[in-house]
Amino acid sequence: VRPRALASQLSGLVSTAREASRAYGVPPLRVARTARRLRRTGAWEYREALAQGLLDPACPEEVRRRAVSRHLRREIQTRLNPVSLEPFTEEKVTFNRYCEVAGIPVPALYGTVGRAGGWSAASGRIVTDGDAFAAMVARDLPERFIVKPTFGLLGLGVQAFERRADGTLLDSGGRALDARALHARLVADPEFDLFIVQERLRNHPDVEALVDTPVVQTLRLNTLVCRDGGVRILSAQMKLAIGRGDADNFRSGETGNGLCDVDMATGTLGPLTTVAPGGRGAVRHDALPATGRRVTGWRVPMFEEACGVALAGAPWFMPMRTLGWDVAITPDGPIVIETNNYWGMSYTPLGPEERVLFLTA
Amino acid sequence: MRIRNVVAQAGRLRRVSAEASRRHGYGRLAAAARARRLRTRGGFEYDEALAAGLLDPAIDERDALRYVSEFDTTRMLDRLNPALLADVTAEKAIFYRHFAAAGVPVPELYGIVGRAGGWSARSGRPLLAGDVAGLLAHETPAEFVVKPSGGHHGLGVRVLRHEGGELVDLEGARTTPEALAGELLGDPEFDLFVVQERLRNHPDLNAVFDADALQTVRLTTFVAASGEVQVLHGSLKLAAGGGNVDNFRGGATGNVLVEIDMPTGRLLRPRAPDGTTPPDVEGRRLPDWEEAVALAYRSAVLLLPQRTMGFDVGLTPDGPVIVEANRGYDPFPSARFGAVVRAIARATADGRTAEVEAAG
Repeated sequence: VRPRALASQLSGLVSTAREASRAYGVPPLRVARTARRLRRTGAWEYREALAQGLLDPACPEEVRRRAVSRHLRREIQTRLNPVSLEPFTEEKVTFNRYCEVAGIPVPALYGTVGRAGGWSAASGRIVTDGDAFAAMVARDLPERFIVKPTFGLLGLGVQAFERRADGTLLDSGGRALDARALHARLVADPEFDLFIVQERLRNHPDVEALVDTPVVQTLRLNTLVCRDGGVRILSAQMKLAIGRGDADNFRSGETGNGLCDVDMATGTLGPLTTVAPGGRGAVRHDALPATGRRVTGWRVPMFEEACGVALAGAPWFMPMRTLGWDVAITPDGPIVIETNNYWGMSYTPLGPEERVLFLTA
Repeated sequence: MRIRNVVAQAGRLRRVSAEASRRHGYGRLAAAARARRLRTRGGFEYDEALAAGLLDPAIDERDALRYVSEFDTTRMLDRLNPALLADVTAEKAIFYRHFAAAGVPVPELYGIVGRAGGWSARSGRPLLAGDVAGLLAHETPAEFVVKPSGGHHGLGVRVLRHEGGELVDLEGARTTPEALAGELLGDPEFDLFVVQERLRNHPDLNAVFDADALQTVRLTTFVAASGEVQVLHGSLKLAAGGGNVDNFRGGATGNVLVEIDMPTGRLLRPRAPDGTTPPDVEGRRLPDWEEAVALAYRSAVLLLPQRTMGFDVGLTPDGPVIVEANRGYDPFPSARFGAVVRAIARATADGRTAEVEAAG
C-alpha cells in the first residue's frame, strides 16, 4: 500500500505543480517546492493549498504561515469537541429544542417529516403519511417555512417554501407542488431520512437592501472556550448568497456564493471573496458583481448583538469547546440557524493571537 | 456461514435446555421442545426465554406466549423511534443538559470528564486530563455518582462517597480521586463520563425495600397519532442485589422487578431472579405516584418525534426525578407488558390510541 500511496502523492504533486505553473507563470519545480513545504510544515494537501491560493507566488509568506490546513484544523477540533457529543450540535431537532429552552434565539421548530418519523409541534399530532402532512401544512404551518435535513450539512437539502392561497406550495424556484407530493419526495429521499420543518427567517432590512434576495444571509462566528472558561470569537465572516439555491453556504465556492471577512472591532465587511477562475485562490471585489452595491466598509447591523448571542451560547455546549455559529440578522434580532463542530475556514487565516489560542487551546 | 449458525443455535439450545431442566426439574428434551416452540411462535431467543422464566413448566405455554420477545419489542421500537435521534437520550451528557434546561427535574450535573474532553459545571472551565482528579476531589459533595455518558444497563455506574481523602463505592471498594481519574481517562469502552448528584430513595420507598442504591420506576410511554401521550406500563426495580445500581440485566445483578398497578400506583407481585418473592412488597403504594406519571407525560412530549420511551424515574424525598430515558428499552418479562407492546403495535397501525387488553 505504501508505494502506491507514495505514487499517488507524487502524481498529485506533479499535477498540482503543473496546473499552478500554467496559471501563475512560474516554473513547476518552484511551485512543487512550496507545496511540499506547506505539506511538511502545515499538513496541507497539494490541491487544498492550490485552492486556497497558497501556491500563488504573490501570496505573502505571512498568509501561508498563518493559514491552518483542513487536516490540522480537524485534528484540533476533534481534540476540543468530544466526538460522542456531535449530535448535540449537528442533529437539528435536538439542537433547536435545546437552544429554545436555553434561551438561545433559533428559528421556531414547526415539526419533522420524513420516513423516520413526522410530528407537528403546533398540534402535537404525529405525521404518518401525505394526508397528515397536507393537514399539517394547511393548519399548523405559517405561509413561509423551511424544510431541511436533521443531520444535513453545508446547506445540502435545504428547501424554502411558500404556501399559496389555493394551498399549493411554491419552492424558491417558483415551482408549484402539492403538500402530498412534497411528503412523497421527502420520505423517498435517498440520502436523508428525517427533515425538520422550521421558521423561514427574513433578512434585516439593511441586509435585504444589500443583497436583494430572500435567501437568509448569515454571519459565521467561530468561538473558542478558553482554558479559563472565557469565550473568544476566533474569526467572523459574512456569507453572501449571491449564487443559486436556498442557502448561503459557500461549500468551497461551488454554490457561487461569496464570503466577506468582518472586522471584529467595527463590524464592517471587507471585500467580497469569490472563487477565482479555475478554483485557484480567490478574487476580491469591493462591490457585488451583479448589482454594483459596495460591500467593503458596509456595516453589519446588530453585529455586537450577534457576537453576544454566540458568546453567551458557547458555554451551553461544553465540553464542546470550539463551534462555528451561523447567525442570521433578522428584523427581530440575531437568530442562530445552526452551529458546526467541524467549522471551516476559507482564504483568510486566523489573526495571529487567535491562531495561537486555537492551536494551543 | 449458515451451517455455523445452525451449529451455534443447537449449542445454545442444548445448554439452555440443560439449565432449564436443572432449574425447573423436568426433562431436557421437553425443555428443548418448549424453547423451540417459544422461539418459532414468539420470537424468543433461548437464553431470553430462560431468563424470563418462560421455560418453567408451571407457566402455561399459552401464557408464556403472551409475553413479548426482545425481537418483537425491538421491531416496534425501530418503527417508532428514528434511529437518528438515538443520541438525544443515549448520550447522557446531552440528555441531562437538555432536560435540565427544559426545567425537568434530573440529577444535578457537576461535570463531564473523560479522555474525549471535560467541563466543570461549577467553574464553567474546560477540564484537561490533569484537572479531573481535582474535580472529583474538590468539586463534588460528600456523595456523588459517576457514570458513562454513553452507558446502558447500569454498566460502569459508581455511587461514591468521600471518606478520609478516599472515595468509597456502595460495594465498599475504595479508590482515590487520582486513581479514579486515571481509570476514567483510560477506560477502554467509554470516553466520556458524567459526574452528577447522588439521589436518595424516598423514605416511603425504602420502607417497602431498604436499599442504598437508587430504586427507580420504569414508565413506558407512547404518543398516539393524535398526539395524546399514554403512560402504559410501570415497574419498580428493587436494588436487592446490593450493588451500585438497580438494573435487572436479565437477573444477573440479583435485583428484583415489580410491576405496578397503573391506576393506583400499588405494587403487584415481585419477581426475583431466583423465583423467590420478597415479603411485604405486594400491595404497597408508591410515594408521589401521580407526580411521577405526570413527569413522564411531560417528558415524552419533549422527545418527539420519538414516540415511545422507557423513563427511569427516581422517587426521592424532593419528588420524582428523571434519571434516564431509554428509547431502546428491554421488554419487561410479563404478559402485562406483552399486552402493552401489542397494543402499541396495533395503535401504530390503525392510528388510534393504544388500548391494552387485560393480561389475563
